[in-house]
Amino acid sequence: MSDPITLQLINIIQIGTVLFLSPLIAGIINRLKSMIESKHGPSIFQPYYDLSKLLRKEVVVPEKSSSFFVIAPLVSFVAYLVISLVVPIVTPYPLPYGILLDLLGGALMFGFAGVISIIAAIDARTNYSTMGASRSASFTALAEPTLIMIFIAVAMITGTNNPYTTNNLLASSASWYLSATHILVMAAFFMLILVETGRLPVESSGLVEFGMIDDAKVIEYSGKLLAISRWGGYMKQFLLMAVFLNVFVIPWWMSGDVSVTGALYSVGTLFFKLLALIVIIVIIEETFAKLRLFKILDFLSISFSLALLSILALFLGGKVT
Amino acid sequence: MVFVVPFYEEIVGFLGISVLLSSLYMQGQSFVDPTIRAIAIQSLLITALIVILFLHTDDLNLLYLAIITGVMRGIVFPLVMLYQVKHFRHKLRETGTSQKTPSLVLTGIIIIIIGYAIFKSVVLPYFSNPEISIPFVLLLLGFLLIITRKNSLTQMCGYIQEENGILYMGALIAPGIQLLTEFAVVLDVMGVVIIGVILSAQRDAFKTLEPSDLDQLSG
Repeated sequence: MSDPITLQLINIIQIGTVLFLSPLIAGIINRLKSMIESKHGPSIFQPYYDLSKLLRKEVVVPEKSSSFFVIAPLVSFVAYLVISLVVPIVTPYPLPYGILLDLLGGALMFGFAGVISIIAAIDARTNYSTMGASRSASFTALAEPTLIMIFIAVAMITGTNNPYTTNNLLASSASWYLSATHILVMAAFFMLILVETGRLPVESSGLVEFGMIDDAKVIEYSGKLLAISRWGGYMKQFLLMAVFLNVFVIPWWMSGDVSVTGALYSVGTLFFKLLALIVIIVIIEETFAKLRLFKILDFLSISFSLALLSILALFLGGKVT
Repeated sequence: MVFVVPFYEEIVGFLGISVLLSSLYMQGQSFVDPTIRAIAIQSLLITALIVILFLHTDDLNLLYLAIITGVMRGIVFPLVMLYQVKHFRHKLRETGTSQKTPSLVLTGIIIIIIGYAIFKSVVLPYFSNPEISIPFVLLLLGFLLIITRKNSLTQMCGYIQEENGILYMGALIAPGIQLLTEFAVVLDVMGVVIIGVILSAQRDAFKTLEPSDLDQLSG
């Protein structure tokens, strides 16, 4: 059953899922937001149209910037592709390249892509994108420790940093699933997803917003480079949501069968899990006001506290002595 | 009849951590009324915990204890305190601290770590139940709330939190004598409410709730 060809096919399905489903998720979020605001809204396939239009346009690069500005979106894009090889998206068992990175390695890879985009934003040499870079740097400096705390907590539960082991343990043990540690980890991770994907209590997306963080970084990009950098953003959002769902919140309903049909079944269930998460995120976006810029630090310090408390909960509950 | 509570340990653990979370939430508030609401929620969480303990052990004392705790500390005392705040609404802000409140949340977490270390070396050898660490830490967090604030109502919240910790610890260590604990604690909190009455006199006379302003009473 588990012949190398099947495994490689499943690998291709996994990468294809991340590549081609991620714009759809962004489109569904936008459509749902419009529907809640009683508007008709764009088609759910709008991100695909945008990407294909941008890919046909020419690239304009700032005169003073170096070649790094051109390479950076491609490097980030490849970093997200590497992550999509190693996290449980369509299978509850590790794929051939699963040994490349563990959860902590994945977090560092996200950090790497973030650093690359910050350096590129500075390299654009305009005030506005540099401002976005400095904001992004000061907030991720607080978001990354939270992510690392979460993975330390996970490592203390399972004794390993392998996302597949975590998935299997949480899916099979109700007592770990309901433990205070796991619930706090979920809460902290959810807050982090809101930060990392630029959702509303933290950041409002759109081009005419003075408080924007991530959009400001790509303001100098155009044409194909903008398409790649947008697509990378969609993939980042998709990967974070998929890890959150498949590893932490809903570790069930993934086909353990090593076959192409099993993997396709898991893609289907993942899509429905994502829809549920999207509804929750959209409701949060539509009901919360944007935080003032310096209140974001409070938001991040709360998520950090939750992550730290999740580790302490292991000791306080007597699970580790 | 003994009712088997499904996932008893997980529920107790989660309620314990929620109590700690409500305590950290109180550390992070700069206004007084959310602190009072948080203490009400914390008391109700402890009530739920005692009800779970009652269902698990089938000891009727625990049910009486839960009812007394829920009514007195979950409803009556917070209402009394909110009545005190009413005249200061939107103005009664904690201004006495020089630190920003989010840093107090992190201080609270450091207190939890230190408290656990002390608990492990001092208390754990005598009581083999590791869950007692949560009320122990809660006691320390109550102290922190009292020493970092200058507002009397917030300090009373810290005091009630300590009482909650004692009660919680009593329920875990000695099932059977909690009623005694509870009566002692109720008397203590009664004392607090009497102080509250003095405070309301102070409020009417001096339009402030900071204990240091009581100096004006001296002749």
